[in-house]
Amino acid sequence: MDLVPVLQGTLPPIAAALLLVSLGGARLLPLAAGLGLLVAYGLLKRWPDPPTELWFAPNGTEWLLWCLAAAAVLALLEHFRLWRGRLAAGSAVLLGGLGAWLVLAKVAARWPLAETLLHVGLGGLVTAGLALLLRASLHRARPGLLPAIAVTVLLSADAALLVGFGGSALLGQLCGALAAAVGAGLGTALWRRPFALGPGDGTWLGIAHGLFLLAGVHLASLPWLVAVFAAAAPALLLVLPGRTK
Amino acid sequence: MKLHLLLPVLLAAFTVPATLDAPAPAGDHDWAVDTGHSSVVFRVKHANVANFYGVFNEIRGTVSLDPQAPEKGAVSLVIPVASVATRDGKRDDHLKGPDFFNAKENPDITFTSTKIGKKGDALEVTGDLELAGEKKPVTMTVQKTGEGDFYGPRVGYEATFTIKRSEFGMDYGVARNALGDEVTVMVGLELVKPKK
Repeated sequence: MDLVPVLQGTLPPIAAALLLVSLGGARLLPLAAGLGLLVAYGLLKRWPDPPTELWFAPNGTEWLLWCLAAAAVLALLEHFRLWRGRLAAGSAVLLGGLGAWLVLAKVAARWPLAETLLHVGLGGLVTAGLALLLRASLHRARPGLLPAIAVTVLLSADAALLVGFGGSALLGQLCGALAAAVGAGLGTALWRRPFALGPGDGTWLGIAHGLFLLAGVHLASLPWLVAVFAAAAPALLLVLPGRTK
Repeated sequence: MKLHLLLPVLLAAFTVPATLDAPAPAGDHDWAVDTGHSSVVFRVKHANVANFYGVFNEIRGTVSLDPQAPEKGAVSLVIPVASVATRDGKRDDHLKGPDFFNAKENPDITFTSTKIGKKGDALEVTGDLELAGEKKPVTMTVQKTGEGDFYGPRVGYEATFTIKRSEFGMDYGVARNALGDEVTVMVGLELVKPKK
């Protein structure tokens, strides 16, 4: 295994999460993950083009990064109670749908309308649904380390599937970068308590889970069946112990 | 089936021109790429040890070239990334993925000439190479390899040029020299008269 790209992909999100979560608590985790992801991509490949340029020359992987950065901002706003309730859930759904459209923009340009509607529509619905599912699961789960451990395992499994079945080291490394950010944030619980994920984190984690699988299928060679099973995995979070009334 | 009956069938299969449906630009100096008798081979160093060779099984396009006035000519070539072949299906899939060609977003490699000039006996062709969504100028020396008549007039050219794949955003394995940055591309073209 080539260690250099693994370190390029994981060290920025780990460093960002250790620093920001130590300073400001778990509510800064989305910011750390978003920043770490963009820096990881910069080190692994190049600095992503800004959305103003991607609009005219789309690149699915780079749109994925910006969508996750936007999801991280939404989560951050929710953590600071500037964005909450139905507005927060609605914007998660909108961003999930928009993200699917943007990630598939370039490949969809060659599809007939029916195929575009099917793939973009289905991808958007699944991504938005995953954001809502993760939000609900993290809202329901008892605060503690267990949900964060489960999410770290989920994103690590996505990364392994993207490399093993999707044949894309880049997508796997980027997804692994998010897993590394959550794992490092989790590690700060050793010296800074409490560490708990909230519904706002469900927005960026659900969108990340959905968009990475969508990119794996449509930009790499992740088989549909594998993606469907992986997409359903967050349902297991519902079995985590709930909050006591 | 007896061999003397089978032989003409086999011979016909190997000798019938492959590009009967080539696109049809007009003019005496216009040619179409005979896909079945043209080749694209690439070479890259693996682990800084040995040269590895792969091919693209398909190339199509048009060439307009007046030997007396090459500067008025034009070359337009398209290589579908899906035709990459390295004798290993899994490796081919990896090459088509986002780590290399990103074929689902960029299904074709294209070359469009911007300048053609003479260089001794050969031609010097400059043009835009679009690969993995990045467009860069490249210049190549093109040698004429022959001409003749075989089910119609034909002419052959060969070009070899080297690119740095990292300049096209394909830097997988470059950092540790697992796979070289420089890729040498050899293109052998057999051109036929386009079908009117």
